[in-house]
Amino acid sequence: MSRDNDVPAFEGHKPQARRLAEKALEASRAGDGTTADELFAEAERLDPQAVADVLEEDLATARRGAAAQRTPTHSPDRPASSPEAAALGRNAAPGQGFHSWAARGSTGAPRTPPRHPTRLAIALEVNGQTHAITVDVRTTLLDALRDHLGLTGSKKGCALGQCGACTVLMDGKRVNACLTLAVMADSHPITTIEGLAEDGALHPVQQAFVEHDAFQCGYCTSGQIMSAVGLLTEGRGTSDAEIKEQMSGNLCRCGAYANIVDAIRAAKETV
Amino acid sequence: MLAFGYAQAKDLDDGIELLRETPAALPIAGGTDVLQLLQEGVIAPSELVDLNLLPLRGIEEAGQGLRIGALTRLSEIADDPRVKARFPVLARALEETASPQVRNMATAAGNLLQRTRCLYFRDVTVPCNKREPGSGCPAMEGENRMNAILGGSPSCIASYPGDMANALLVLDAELEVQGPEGSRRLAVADLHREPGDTPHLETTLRPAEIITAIHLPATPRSANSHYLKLRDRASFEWALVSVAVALEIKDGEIRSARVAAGAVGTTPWRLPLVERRLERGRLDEAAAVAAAEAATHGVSPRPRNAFKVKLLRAAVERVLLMAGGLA
Amino acid sequence: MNAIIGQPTPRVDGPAKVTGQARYAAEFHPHGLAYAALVTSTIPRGRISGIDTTQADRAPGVLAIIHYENCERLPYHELEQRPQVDPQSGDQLRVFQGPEVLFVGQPLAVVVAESQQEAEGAARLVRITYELEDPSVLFQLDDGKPPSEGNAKAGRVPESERGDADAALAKAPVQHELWCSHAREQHNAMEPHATIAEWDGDRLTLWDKSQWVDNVRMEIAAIFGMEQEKIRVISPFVGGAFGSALRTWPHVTIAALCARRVGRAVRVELTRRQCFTSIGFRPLTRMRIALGAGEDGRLSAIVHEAWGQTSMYEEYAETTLEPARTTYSCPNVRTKYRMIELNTNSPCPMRAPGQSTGTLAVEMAMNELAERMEIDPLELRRRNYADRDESADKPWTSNALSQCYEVGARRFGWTTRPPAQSLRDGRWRIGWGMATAIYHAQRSACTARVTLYADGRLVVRTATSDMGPGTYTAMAQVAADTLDLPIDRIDVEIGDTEMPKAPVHGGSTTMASVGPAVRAACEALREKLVPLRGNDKDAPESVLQRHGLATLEAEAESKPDPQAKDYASAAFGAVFAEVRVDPALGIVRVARLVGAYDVGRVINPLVARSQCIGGMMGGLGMALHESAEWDPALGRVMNANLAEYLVPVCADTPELDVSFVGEPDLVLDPLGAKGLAEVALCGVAPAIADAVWHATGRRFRDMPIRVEDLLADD
Repeated sequence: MSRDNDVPAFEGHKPQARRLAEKALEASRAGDGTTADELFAEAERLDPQAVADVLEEDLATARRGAAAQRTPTHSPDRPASSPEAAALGRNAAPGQGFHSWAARGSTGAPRTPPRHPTRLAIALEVNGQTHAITVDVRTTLLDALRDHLGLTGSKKGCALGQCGACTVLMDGKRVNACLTLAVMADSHPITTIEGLAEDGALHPVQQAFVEHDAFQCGYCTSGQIMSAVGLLTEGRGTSDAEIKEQMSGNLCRCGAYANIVDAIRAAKETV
Repeated sequence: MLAFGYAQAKDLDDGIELLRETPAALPIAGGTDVLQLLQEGVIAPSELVDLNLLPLRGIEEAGQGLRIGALTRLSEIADDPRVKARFPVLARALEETASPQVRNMATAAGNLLQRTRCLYFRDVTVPCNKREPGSGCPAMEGENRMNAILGGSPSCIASYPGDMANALLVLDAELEVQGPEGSRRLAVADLHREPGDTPHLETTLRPAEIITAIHLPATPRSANSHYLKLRDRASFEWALVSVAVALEIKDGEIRSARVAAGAVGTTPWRLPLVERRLERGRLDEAAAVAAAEAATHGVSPRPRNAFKVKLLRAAVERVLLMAGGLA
Repeated sequence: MNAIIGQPTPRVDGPAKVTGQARYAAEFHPHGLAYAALVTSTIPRGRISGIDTTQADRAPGVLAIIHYENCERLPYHELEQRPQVDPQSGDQLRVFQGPEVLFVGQPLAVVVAESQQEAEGAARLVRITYELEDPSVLFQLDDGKPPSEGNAKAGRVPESERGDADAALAKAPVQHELWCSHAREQHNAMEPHATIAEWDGDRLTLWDKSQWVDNVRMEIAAIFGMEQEKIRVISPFVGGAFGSALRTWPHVTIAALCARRVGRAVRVELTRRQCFTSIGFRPLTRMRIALGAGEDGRLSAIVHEAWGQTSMYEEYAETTLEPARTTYSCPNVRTKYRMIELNTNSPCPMRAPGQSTGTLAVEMAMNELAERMEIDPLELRRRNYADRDESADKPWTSNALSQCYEVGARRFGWTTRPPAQSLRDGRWRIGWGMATAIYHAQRSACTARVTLYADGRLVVRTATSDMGPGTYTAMAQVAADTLDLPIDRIDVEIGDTEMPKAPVHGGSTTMASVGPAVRAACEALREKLVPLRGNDKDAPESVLQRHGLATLEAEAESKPDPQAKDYASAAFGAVFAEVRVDPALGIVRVARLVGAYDVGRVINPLVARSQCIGGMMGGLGMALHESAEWDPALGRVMNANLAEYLVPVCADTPELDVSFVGEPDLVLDPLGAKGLAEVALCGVAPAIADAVWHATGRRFRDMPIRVEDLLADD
């Protein structure tokens, strides 16, 4: 349904449009989107301005409500004479009910025991070598590399795919080794930082990282380098802006990003 | 993680059967969200059913549109020249999703099914109606900066955090779904459920159903489609607000419009009122402002996320200006 | 001397780091290694009423579960003198010694198992029930407590005053007052904290993430009632720390307990979520500052008050008020510090602790005063230059702050700063801001040993650490320079209590403390070589070969010059920022940061620059991103991960420009280095905040500045 511009918005329709719009708002709040849309459409047909007014008023009310409860943290000014007013954080009463929920103690919910294997023999192809190991199926590829194969070059920074320190190449593409299970990586060729240098000679990206001092503590470095190798393999990194965007899956808390970008730009010319 | 069994589905029927026979089983494909949920103890399935062997990877022509296999990786979709040219909103949304590493792993269907980032859902030491029905929702008065302003209920205000679904909404995309009862088509718009009083039920998929493909129909709007994602840092963050738009413009007039927003609703959120305000009009600054005003009807902001109301309007306005070449 | 000092030598440990060969704490693998997982509290305050391990005990692979009901009572001897890295009042958290729960995330039990997966799985099956008590969860200024004597002795006084600041303020022709704050920040070094413990009879070896192995040894010895000599702590590489690895945290004790219980080596590695509660953080600090100035812009009064978070069990206070007392010349200064006790883990120093916080207030106030008086902010600072430390009433050992202003302003192009809100680029508004940076410089006693081998290799050993600033490289340069050897002949070995004693690797003191010790040891070795040397031109190794010596060794201690006590020392800097703001969308992006620093002698400009740009990124995080979101209703940080606790990513990186000015500070130490890790973070946030004002005409005083602030109605 589209707005019909031919209907004159004479005053007579305004109250009705307002009522419809208010009903629509109610329906929307109650979670009935379909009804809300129908009512809004009807109200709009009668008087678009009335609908806009209702929405504006609704918004203002919502804003007022929010402002009343708003954290003082971000209000621009507050009276210096009142330290209480300057208190930080929301001053909601501690939720005893929520704490009671925690106090009763909790464990993993009772579950059906697994029917399928919880341990499996797999073959991991890492840096051209095949490693036959038996793993608990819960083992991530990252833990398998670090704890089973002794390849600790791939780092664990968060185990949730949020930092990139564990980046390796799988099937030639950069991935987070913490976000895949070792059993799922079975038979997929994997390259880790340990497999990058050839015959003792640093890979051009490794060399560039040293020359441009693209790290400090070194903990994110393996992931940064593997990600950079992936980026170059994908043919990306044609501008600094693209390098920055494409390297944003790899956090560096020492803040070496500017040097990382320099290193990748330089390596791109060598590779 | 609590112990679980692992089974690899040999084919589609096998996958459906594995899921059907063990109700506490969970399918896994890219694993990028499932592994996080497992690590944090948010979920504890009895088995994981690995779907990666199913032949559901790749993008092919289908009629005038494209058919994207459910296991196609996000980076493969974003980099596909046909997607870039004919469905730019989708490519753009995916380019701004997560990190390159995650995009190389995450699958199309898995992305649609990703769980909320609500801080309370992800922390098992606090109550959450979605994780443990009836336990309560501390997000209501808590750290709800990232939570929904649309589609919430007294039980839950967790936002749908993803990007791709918003793009698919404005592309009128449909899903192919296969389950014990056979196959069916399902509009992306009908996939996600608002929380109501059952926030733990997030989709309309039936038990043991597997999404097998996404259909992108060719519409007069698809090629003129845009995506704007707003976030605190410049990259690698879930959206504060995102907006997808697809417009059919002929002789300077908007013939038809699709607009959807992400990170503001409990589901990917279509904005029909904005669409109606746009249709039959010309796309100029005034029209963008007027249409954007309609984006926030029915919002229920909370103390910490009230800014999303203003931000949503601003984002709709800006993406419309982008679509009109005015920004 | 071969003039290698001052050269941009690439890191000597670079190849090890880029090939994944550098080994961090969790990466050692002693024979029979078992794995541990912590079970932590889920309520902010109360007592354990029951621990049920029935399910967990039955889980496969489980070797032991330790909690207060079955844990031996540990002596926890009081140390004769508390190390400066620990809070000076209160008691450290004792592990598994009682049922009290003081915060969410407190370790209450540990599961040891054959694999990490089994340990973590079983940890989820341990069920703990509690009796609840009312927690302290609200940050209310009225609840502020003054630091007690212990803290005051360490320089963190409840009150200080010179002159009569309130009277002077009341009389001042221009008065400006503001409230400001920054959020609770988490160090979030990329390497999670980890410890591996292994007992051999009554001897204990710990592989630990530590900025101070000697202190870990001393504290663990006191906790277990052991002789220090029976403990060895090894920490060759530290994957970032920023202060989080200064202290000996509870999980180190837990690792030793586990290893003793199961009779095997055991690894405890914190999860990222546990890194928000099992170590420390930079406390949320709220501040009031008032400046009084004459019509000429000269300061006549500063009143600075701060309220910071601490825990219920330790009294953590910071040196937040030092910048107000030292940065500018002002006859009347009054300060006040208060702590708010909360049921949370204890805060701890985080890069530029206290000073970066205090600088935020002082520099914001200076910028607002400049606006009000219509004086250029840089000019206002020049007019208030402090040519001595007026707080200590001592001359500076060196001070090139004026050059910092000059060089920084020139490189930034500051003199052309246009009026506020006048710079535009399409929808973007552009703004410029600046701030002064200051961080006290210190030096401690240190010992180093150098060993020359007959093959010509020289090994430098000292128990210091390298969390990223380049200790390995800088010490190799000092040794190469002193003995006139090529740097590739030198190996530096650090991070082991078997090595000569070194002070804490923190507070920007490593170069000034360890460097002179390495130099002194090398000089002692040279003295030993003299009588053996026939011909001056002989290479050292040929001297050894001629005398049939396998090695020649020398050790030396280097201490601060007693004369230095008559001086005050600080590193200085001037920071300039350019931001781009999209007001409609509430977006702020930093486009440029320019810093000019007086850090004394720069031993290695390549790694020194890296440290400065790192500090700038840390300051950018403070200004725009970092905030641990505390939910008072639940008494915990809710965004305890790296997806929702935001640190800057690569795409946030602005154009960065670093200059070094000034001269070697030879009064502070013979190398003339003042230290630079901390000063580089100071001043960045207030410079960015000022730039946001310059772009938008609006002042945002609570860090981080976020979308909701920009979109809020004026």
